[in-house]
Amino acid sequence: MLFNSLDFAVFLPIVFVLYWFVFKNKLKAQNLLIVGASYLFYGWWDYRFLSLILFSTIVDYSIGRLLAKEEKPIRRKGLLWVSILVNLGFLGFFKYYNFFLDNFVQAFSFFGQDISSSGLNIILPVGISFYTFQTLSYTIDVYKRNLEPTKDFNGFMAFVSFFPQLVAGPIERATNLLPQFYVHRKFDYTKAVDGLRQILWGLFKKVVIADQCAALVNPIFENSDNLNGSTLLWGAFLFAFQIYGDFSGYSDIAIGTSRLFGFNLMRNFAFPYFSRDIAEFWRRWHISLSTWFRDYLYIPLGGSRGGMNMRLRNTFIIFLVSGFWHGANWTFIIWGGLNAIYFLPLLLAKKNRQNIDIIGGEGTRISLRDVLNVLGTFLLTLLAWVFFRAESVSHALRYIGGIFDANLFASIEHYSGLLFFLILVFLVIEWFGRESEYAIERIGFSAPKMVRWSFYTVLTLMIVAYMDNQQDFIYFQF
Amino acid sequence: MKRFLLQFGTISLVFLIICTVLSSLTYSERFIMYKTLDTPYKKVAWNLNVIEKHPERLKNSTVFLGSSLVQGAIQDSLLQAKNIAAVNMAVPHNGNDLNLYFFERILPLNPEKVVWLKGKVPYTGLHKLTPLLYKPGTLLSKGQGLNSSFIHYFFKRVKLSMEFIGFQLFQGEWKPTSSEQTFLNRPYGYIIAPGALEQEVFVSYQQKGNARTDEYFNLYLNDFKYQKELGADGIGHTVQNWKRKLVHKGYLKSNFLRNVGAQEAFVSQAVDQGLENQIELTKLYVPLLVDAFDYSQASYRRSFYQKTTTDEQVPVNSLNAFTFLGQADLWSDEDHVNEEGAFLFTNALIQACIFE
Repeated sequence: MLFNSLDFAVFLPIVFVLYWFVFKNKLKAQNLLIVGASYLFYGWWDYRFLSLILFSTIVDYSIGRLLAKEEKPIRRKGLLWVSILVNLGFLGFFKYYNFFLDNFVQAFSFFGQDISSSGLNIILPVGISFYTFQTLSYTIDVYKRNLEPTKDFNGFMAFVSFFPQLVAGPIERATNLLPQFYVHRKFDYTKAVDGLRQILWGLFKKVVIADQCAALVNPIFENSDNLNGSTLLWGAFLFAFQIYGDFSGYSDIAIGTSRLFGFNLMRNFAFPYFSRDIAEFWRRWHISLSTWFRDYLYIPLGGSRGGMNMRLRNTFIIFLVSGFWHGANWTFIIWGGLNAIYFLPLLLAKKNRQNIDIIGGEGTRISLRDVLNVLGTFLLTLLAWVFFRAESVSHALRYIGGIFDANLFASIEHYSGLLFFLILVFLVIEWFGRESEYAIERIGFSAPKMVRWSFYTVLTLMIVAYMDNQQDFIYFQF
Repeated sequence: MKRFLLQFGTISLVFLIICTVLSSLTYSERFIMYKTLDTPYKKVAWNLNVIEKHPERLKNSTVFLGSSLVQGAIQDSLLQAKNIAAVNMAVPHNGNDLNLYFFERILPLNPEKVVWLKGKVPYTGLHKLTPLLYKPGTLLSKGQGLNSSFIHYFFKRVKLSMEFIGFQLFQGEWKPTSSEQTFLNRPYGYIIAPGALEQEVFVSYQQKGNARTDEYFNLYLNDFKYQKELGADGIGHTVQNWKRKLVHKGYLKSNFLRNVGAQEAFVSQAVDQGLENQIELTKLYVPLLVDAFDYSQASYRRSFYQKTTTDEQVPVNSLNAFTFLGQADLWSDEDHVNEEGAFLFTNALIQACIFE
């Protein structure tokens, strides 16, 4: 079920009414409702893979219970590895089996050995990378004794399958989300209104920005070999906003929806395109994944404790694995590697934490250097996005080569002045709201109610106006 | 909670009122032409042009309404050559709602007879162009219910209204291009279905590979059983049978989910108006490739189309057999005959005296 569909528009109010009116003050019933609603939400896409979520839930719940009773370190480690192998085994099979097989065959043919292979026709279950990492976080935290293993199977099922963030995150930590299923939830007016506002902004980003960009990005990338440099640059520019609008829009809808039910999810995006260097960009982009890798991979690998060489090695590992997490294609690995290379000078100069605050935050002065740094960082990410979007590495290289051909200043094909204007308006709103959790969180709070409501009505009308060109969320495929 | 529901209810109501006002705007015919001329639905613009500029063509003529099946199968040029006054006004995509729109538009122009496409299965949903042609109030008055099809239609209409305002403000000078004007000036509404049927596909139909598809259409005539299941008993078959019956009656015929009832109501509207204005209304079945072969055993009941409630009110014309279309080079795809197929089909209709 897509957030931007009529199905969801019917589904959400029904669940909301049942949750707050029928099961009010009944914690177990509310959790059970969340499980039922979440399984329906997921099953709407493909009910066959519900068994996968259920199996993963049972395995991690059971391992948690066993860890609670087990004191011997070697056995505890064994249990942890069972969880890791089961979860990553599913992920590996569904997502990476054909990739490894193809590369294995290609490696042999490179050395003159021809071996035949028949790849499997595997359907990738939506959101498998997200809920796998979420359940893994539970087992790892229980293993590290950062979290009490739960006895509440119903609550744990709800934690694993919580529908707002089941298929595309934010990837929640068990330490943050799971305890919220144990406590009685009260309806909070401010929180609910805030949730609706964030849903509205998320839908705007998805429908008005991302989907409209997609309509032009697709033909440009599909026909990139025949287009001039300026058009290719325009295509890359649009893709940067497509992926941002798409993914951060999804996160906003997920977080807003959770608020309607009294939950707090972690922030996933913090205005990444206003970053002054690549390190800041990665602190602001897909925060739940970056911090997941930091906590469960970078730090266990030694983090930054063992000197510069170890930091460099670990940083590269994180970026490459992060790229590979996105998809079974070399393009994603190169995308990750490219970001690691961007990161390298900052790491060597020990300047990777120089821009912790938001640009111009709390009334600080914005220098010309800041502006140039923001533009430079944006251009670097733009280049990397080409690898993310391209079909293959050679396609990406041809695309980037095409940008710098002699026709860089030729007229742009597939140009839309209206879309460019919309992106500018979007950026202006994001800029003025950059100190909030999401752009329109506090915009116009001092303005009369009439003005604010008019603003929300205009946003909604724009969403309706652009609803026609509905596209799947990009991150569903991961 | 009370405050939240009250505020949310109020803003939703305000939004709904704005949407209702917007969706009730009347679009100009220029806007409808602008929206359709550069699309597969350009026949809408052609129809409007005929109604407005060449009404004499419609007087005492046989007018064909329907989908791309009719558009690409009835050669009004051939009919006219045989001294049968005819205009093919069919527009791609299924929907009695769109047929009704043009039916009402041509009524004052006194056609002699209107031939309406009979679908293989009952029509569902709404035609894709209905938001462009009908205001919500008008659509509801024609028999449309407040169901999921209407909700989809309604918001699409709102979107189009905003486009219409933009069109009026910024594109007041719009005119069809010269090639579009040439299309509008064509004397005939028949449009050749593009493409050519792949030999492989044809062979698969010929070798009864698609018998099951044909049987699917006829399940309701055969106690919801496929041919190979005839005579088979057992609990598995019984359950399967019940499931199919349930799907047929509960889902396939559901007005809320599939808008089947409203689609029939549009035909009833046309029947009433036809009677009032003394215009003969008939239905015509246009074949698909699956109809060109005879898959059935004597024991298996087969019909080219499923009967609907309005078939009692409007006579359905159909040829008895379509085996004369059983050649690959007569089809553009599995659903549409090509130019040669259309010629044969139109001729067959003339010989069967369907236009008399």
